[in-house]
Amino acid sequence: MKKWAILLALTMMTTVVLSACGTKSETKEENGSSASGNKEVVELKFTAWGDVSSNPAEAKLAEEFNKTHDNIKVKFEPVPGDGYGTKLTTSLAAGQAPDVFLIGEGDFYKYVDKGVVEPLDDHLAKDSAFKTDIFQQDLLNMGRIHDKLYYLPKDFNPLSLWYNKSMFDEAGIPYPSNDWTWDDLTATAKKLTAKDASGKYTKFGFNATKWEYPIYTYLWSNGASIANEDGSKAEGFMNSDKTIAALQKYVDMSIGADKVSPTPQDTETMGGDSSMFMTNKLAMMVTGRWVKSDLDKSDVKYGTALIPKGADGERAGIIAAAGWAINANSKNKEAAYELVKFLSGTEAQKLRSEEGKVLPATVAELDEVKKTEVADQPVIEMMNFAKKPVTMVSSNGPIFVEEFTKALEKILLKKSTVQDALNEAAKTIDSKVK
Amino acid sequence: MRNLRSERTGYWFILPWFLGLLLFTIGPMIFSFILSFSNWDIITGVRSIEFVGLDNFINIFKDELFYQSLKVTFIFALVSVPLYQIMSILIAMLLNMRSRGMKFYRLIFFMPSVIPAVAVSMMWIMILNPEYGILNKALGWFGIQGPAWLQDPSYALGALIVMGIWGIGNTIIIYLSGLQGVPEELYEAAQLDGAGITRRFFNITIPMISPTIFFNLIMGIIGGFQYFTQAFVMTNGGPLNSTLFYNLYLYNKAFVSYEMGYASALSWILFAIIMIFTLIVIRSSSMWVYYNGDDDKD
Amino acid sequence: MNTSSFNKQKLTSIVSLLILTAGALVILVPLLWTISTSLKTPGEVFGDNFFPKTWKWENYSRAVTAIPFFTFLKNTLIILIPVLIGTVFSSALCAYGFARFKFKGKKGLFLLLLATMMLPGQVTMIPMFILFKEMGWVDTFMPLIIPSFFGGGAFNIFLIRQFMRGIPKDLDEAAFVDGANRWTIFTKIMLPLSKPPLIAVAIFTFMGVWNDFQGPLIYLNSTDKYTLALGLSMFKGMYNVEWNMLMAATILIMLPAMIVFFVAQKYFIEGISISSAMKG
Repeated sequence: MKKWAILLALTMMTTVVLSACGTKSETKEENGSSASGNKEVVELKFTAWGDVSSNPAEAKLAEEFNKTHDNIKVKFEPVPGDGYGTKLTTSLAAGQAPDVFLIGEGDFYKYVDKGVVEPLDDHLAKDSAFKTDIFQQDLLNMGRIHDKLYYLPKDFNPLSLWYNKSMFDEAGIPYPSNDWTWDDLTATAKKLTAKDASGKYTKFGFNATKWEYPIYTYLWSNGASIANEDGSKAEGFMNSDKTIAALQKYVDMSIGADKVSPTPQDTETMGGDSSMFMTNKLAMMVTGRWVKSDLDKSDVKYGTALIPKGADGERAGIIAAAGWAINANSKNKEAAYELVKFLSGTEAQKLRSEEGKVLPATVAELDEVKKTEVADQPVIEMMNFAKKPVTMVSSNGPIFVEEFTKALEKILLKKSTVQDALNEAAKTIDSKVK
Repeated sequence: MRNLRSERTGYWFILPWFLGLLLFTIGPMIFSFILSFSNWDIITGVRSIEFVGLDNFINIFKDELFYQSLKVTFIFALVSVPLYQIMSILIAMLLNMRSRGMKFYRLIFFMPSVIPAVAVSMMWIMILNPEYGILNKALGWFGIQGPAWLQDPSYALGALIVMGIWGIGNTIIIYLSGLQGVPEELYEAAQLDGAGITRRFFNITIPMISPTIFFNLIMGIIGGFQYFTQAFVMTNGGPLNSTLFYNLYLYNKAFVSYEMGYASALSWILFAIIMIFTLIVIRSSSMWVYYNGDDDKD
Repeated sequence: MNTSSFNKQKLTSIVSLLILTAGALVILVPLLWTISTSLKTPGEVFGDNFFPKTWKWENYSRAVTAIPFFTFLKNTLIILIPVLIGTVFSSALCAYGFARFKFKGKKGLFLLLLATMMLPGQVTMIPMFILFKEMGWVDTFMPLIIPSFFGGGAFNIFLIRQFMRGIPKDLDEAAFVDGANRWTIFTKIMLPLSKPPLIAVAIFTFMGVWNDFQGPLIYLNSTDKYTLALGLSMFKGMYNVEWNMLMAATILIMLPAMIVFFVAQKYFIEGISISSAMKG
C-alpha cells in the first residue's frame, strides 16, 4: 500500500505543479504578444508609499495618463505604513511587482544592487523628444549609479529647521535666525523646555531625533562623518574623536543633564514629533516639507529657518528625494517608460507642487515655487548645502545605517557609552564590508 | 463481511487529507530540508540555488541573534506558562462555584480571547503608554511609578507577558471543563474525612486535572515558539532585541532579508526543539493520554 | 455548628465573587478605555482624562474612509467563506473515513495525523511560500484558501472523528443494510448527527481566519487585497498616526468576533470543552 500511495502522491504533485507552470507561461506569452502588437491595451501598475489620500497627485496623474494613452491602462496601488520596502521586495521576489515603483534616495543603491531596476539610458537615447535637462541635475544624478541612470526624480525635500511660532511668542523669544550655530539652538531650546510641578517634562525646545538624517547634518556641520568618502570604511570615521564628541553633544540634548529634547521614548509616548509640534509640546525640529500637510490641519503657527551652522561656521544639509523606477522584470518596459516619463514630467511636477507638500524636481517649476513660496525660502535654500549620505554613495550604505542605528539605540537607552558603541559599530561594519 | 467493500471507500474519504499531507506538509518539509543546506536568493529564482553544506547551521550557532531569540522565547515560556496556568486554575475554580451570575462572569473572562491578536496589540500599545496609558495611571493611584514598558528593554518582554494575562480566558475554560469532570463525590468524601480546602485542592483537584495541566504546559512552550503577531505589531523585536521571539527572527530572515536557506535551517532547529518537547509528552503519556487504547478496538 | 459552616460558606462565596468582580474589571476597564479613546480628539488621546470632553462619533466614519475598511472587510470575507466551507466539509469527510472504516494502514495514518498536529507551521512556511510563488499565487487569496480544502486541519478531523465514534453504529449499519451507500450515509446520517463538533469547527475556523495575521502578511502585497487584521497593522506605521481613529478601527475589527462569540457562546464553550476533554 505504501509504495502505491507514494507513487500516486508524486504523480499528483507533479501534475499540479506542471499544470500551474503551464498556465503561467501561457499567460506570459499572451501578454508578450499584446505588448508587441501594440493594438491591445497594456495594463500597468505602479506603486508608492502612503495611502491614496496622501498621494492625491498620483491618483489624478493615473487618470490623466489613462485619458491620454489609449493603449495603456495604469492602476495606482500605494502601500500604506512602514511596510513598503518589505512588501515591494516580496512582490519582486514573487515576480508580481508593479511595473513602476517609487524608491527613496536612501534605497537607490540597494535596489539597483539587487538587479531589479531597469536602466533608463537606452530608453532615453531612443526618445529624442524627452530631455532630462528639464531636471535639476543634482537630483537627476542621484539616480545615476555605476554610470547608468536608473531613476527619474519625482520630488525632493531638503531638510530644514521648523519652529513653532506660538511657543516662541509665548516665551517672548525671537524666532530662530539663519545665523544660528547649533549652540545657539541648544541654548534657545533650553529656554523653551519646561517641567511641571512634579518634575515631568511638558514642553521640549528641540527634537534631537534618532532619525539618522538630522544627525548626519549635525555631524557634518561639526566636521564629522560616519563613513569615508566612498562609503567603504568606518574605522577612523564612525569612531573618530570628532564624531564621538559631536554625537555625545547631540545625544546629551535628550539624555544629558541639561535635557532640551525628548528621547525617542518620550516622542513615542507623546504621540510622535509632528503631533507634539501641533499641540505646542515641541518648539523646533529638523524635518522635511512633507510635515506641512499635517501641520496645516491643526492651528499651530510655524516657520522655517536654515539648519544651524557648526562651531566653525560650516553648514550642512541633506535632501530627501524619491524617484520612479521601472521593474527590470516588467513585461511592458516600453509602456512603463512612458509612465515614468509622465510621472516625472513637467505636468506632474506642476500638479504636485500645487498640492504644496513637496518641491518640484524640474528647474522651471522650482523657479516658480521660489517666486511664490516666500515663507519657505529657507527650505529651498537648504538645498545649496546638501551633502550625500552614505546610502547614496555606496551599496554598503545599509550596513553603515544598520550598525549606526543599533549603536545609537544602545547609547540612547544608556546601555553603552558613545565611544564604545561607535567603536563596536565601526568594527562590525568594516568586517562586513570586506 | 462488509469490510472488504468498505476498505477501499475509506481511502477515498481520507484522500483530501492525504493529498494535503503530501502537498502541504511532507513535500514542503523535504524541500525545506534541502533548502536548509543551501543559500538561495529568492529574487533570482530556483536557478540560483547554491548548496553550502552545513554552513547555515554553523553560522546559526555563531549567531548572537539566534541565541537572543532563543533566550527571549524560553524566558517568555518559562515565566508566562506557569503564571497563566496558576491564574487560570484559580479563576476556573472560582467560576466553578454554584452561584448566580457565574455565566455572566464566564462570558467576561472568555471574551478577550476572541479578540484578534492585532486588535489586542493595538489596544495595548495605548494601554502601555508610559505617560497616558491606563495601566501606568492605575499604578499611579497606588503610588507606583510605572516603567516605560514597551520602550524599555528591561520591561518590554514583561509587558507582553502582562498583556497575555488579559487573554487567558481560553485556558480558563479548558480548566473549567476539566474541573466539571471531577466527580462531586470525591470532594464530599474528602470533606467527611475532614480534609480542608487546601488538602482537597492538592489531593483531589490537582491530581484530577493534572493531565490538562501537563498538556497545557507543553502546549504553552510550543506556543512561545509560535508567538508572532503581538511582537511584530507592538515592538518588532525591539528595543535592543529584547522581544525578538524565535518566530519573529525566523520571519525576518525569511521575508525581510530573504535568506531563505538560513531561515529554513532555523525552522528545522525549531522543529527539533519542539520534537524534544513532543517526546516528553509521549514519554509521559501514560500519565495523561486517555484515548490511546481505543484505536485497537476496531 | 450548622449556622457557622453556613456563614463560612457564605463568606467564601462573597470573597470569591469579589475576586471575580475585580478580575472582570481588569478585563472590562481597558476595553472601555479603548472605546473612550476612540471617541477623543487627537489632543485628548495624549491627555489625562478617561472620558472625552465631547464624544467624537465622527472618528468612526473618518476611520472607515481613511482606512479602506470595507475593502478589507470584503477581502476578509472572500477568504473566510470558502475556508469555512472547505474546512468543515473536508474535515468531516476525512473524520468519517477515520471513524467508520477499517482499512489497511489506518492506524499508521491516524498516528501520522496526530503527529502533524504537533508540527510547527514555520517548518512548512518557507517552502509553501516558494511553491505558491512558483504557481503565481502570491498576492492572491489562493494560498490562504486552497489548503483548507485538503482535510481542513488535523485538529478538526480529530475533533469530529472523536464525536462520530460516539454515534451508535447501529444507525448507519441499518441504513447500509437498507442499501444506502457510504456517501448517502455520510451526508444523510453522519453529518446531521455531528452538528455540535461541526459548529465548533466552523467557529474556530472563523476565529482563525479573522485573527490570521502571518498568512496575509506573507502572501498579500497590494493594499486592495489586505485583510482587516493586516490592514489595521499596516496603518499603524503611517507617518502621522491618529490614534483615536486607529482605536476606532480596532473596535470595529473586534466587533464581528464579539458578536459571533455572544451569539454562539454555547457552542464556543462546548467546543473548547470537547477539544480539551479529548486532549485530557
